Amino acid sequence: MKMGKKIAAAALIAAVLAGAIEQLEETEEKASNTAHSEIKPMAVPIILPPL
Amino acid sequence: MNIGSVIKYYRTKNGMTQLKLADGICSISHLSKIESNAYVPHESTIEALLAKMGVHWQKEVERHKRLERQLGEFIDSSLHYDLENMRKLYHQLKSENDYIQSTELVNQYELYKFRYYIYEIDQPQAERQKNMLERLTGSFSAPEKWLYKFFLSVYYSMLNKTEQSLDCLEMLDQGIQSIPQKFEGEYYYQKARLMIVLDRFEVSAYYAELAVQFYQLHHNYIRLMHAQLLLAINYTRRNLHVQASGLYEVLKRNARLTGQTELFHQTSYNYVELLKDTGEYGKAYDLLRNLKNSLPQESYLYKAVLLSKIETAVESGIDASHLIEEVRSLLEQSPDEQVEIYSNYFEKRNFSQPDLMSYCETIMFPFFRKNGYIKESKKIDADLVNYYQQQKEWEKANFYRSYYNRNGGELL
Repeated sequence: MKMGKKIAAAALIAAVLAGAIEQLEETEEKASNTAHSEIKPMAVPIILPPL
Repeated sequence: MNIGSVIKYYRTKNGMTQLKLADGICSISHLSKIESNAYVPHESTIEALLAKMGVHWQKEVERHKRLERQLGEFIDSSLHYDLENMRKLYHQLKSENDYIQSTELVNQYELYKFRYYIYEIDQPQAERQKNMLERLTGSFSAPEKWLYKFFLSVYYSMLNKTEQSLDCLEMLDQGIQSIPQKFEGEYYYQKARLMIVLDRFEVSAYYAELAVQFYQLHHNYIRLMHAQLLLAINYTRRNLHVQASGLYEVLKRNARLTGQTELFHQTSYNYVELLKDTGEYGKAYDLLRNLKNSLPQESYLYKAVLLSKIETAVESGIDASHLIEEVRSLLEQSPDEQVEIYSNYFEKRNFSQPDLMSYCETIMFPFFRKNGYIKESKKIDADLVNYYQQQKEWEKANFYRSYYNRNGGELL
């Protein structure tokens, strides 16, 4: 393979990887936000049926 | 029937020596063997020995049979949550306590007395009974040992010692030990109940469903309602609103029809939690008002209802100051740290968030952790993670997140 093609391929891989990492970070952030926004405020004491 | 122990019981009661009793009937060494149940004597010897103490052998056999039947009924009542009958039988059996001590019924009797004290939430008696049973463990059969561990787990649950309770329960599910058949439902039920306290909803639902199946199959209706209430609470917490609502309808009707007033109140209280989740604050508020009017002020549920009412008021923009004042005056009469913390929390929620978070961090979180309220400390902890993330205080956010993960991590 010619040097030019090699560089182009490497650049392409780098671009794809960068995109993937960015996407991954975004998903992680979204996941942690969703998890916490679903948490309810402090609930009143739990009353369970008898022992 | 251990006839030897019965003979010994009457001899001691009559203040007789072995020499005096054996005189003219058998040798002292023979009597000694009989009394230690090492030897079963001929019926005529038993009759002669008992007659010498004014005891009629046939009547004795009948008495033993009656006690056996009463104890069986006591055990059955315990398994079916028939507390009224249990109370009645407890007093009947107690009047013959000394005699029972001389029979082979003693272990079962003492074990179910322990269970009875736990049902009655009689902490001092239960503790005394636990200490007494510890001394008896040497004479326990394998099923009795299982039962003792199981009751011990329920006892720790009563004391809110969740981890100790779980330790006992987990030991019962290991190795070659099997769950005694009639205790299957109880085992699943206690495990489901404990898992809710520990905030493990998925596991809890699994066991609660098994308990429901078992109780249904054995027509154990009161316990079935208890297991269904666990499931309803579970579904509510997991946002399975339709399933929870269906169960609450059944429970409210059946608890009322069977005259289970306390259970009816507990069901209504938990049903309100579902209504709050679905945003039906008006309906929740009305239900709480009715519930509050039908409860005695000194009960814990009354205080919980009051807190729930404050929460509902805060959420729906109704002024809650008169309710907070009522909690304060109740607390003056009977202090309760947990209730005080909750009422402070709801009061602070009306004002600034930093103030609320600082209260959560410095008072609530340490209090819940110290007292082993895993579910509550996790909730506060999750709020703190969220808050510090927003504030971009990563070190603190990370500290609280790692606490959350260490304690199960299962999100609501």
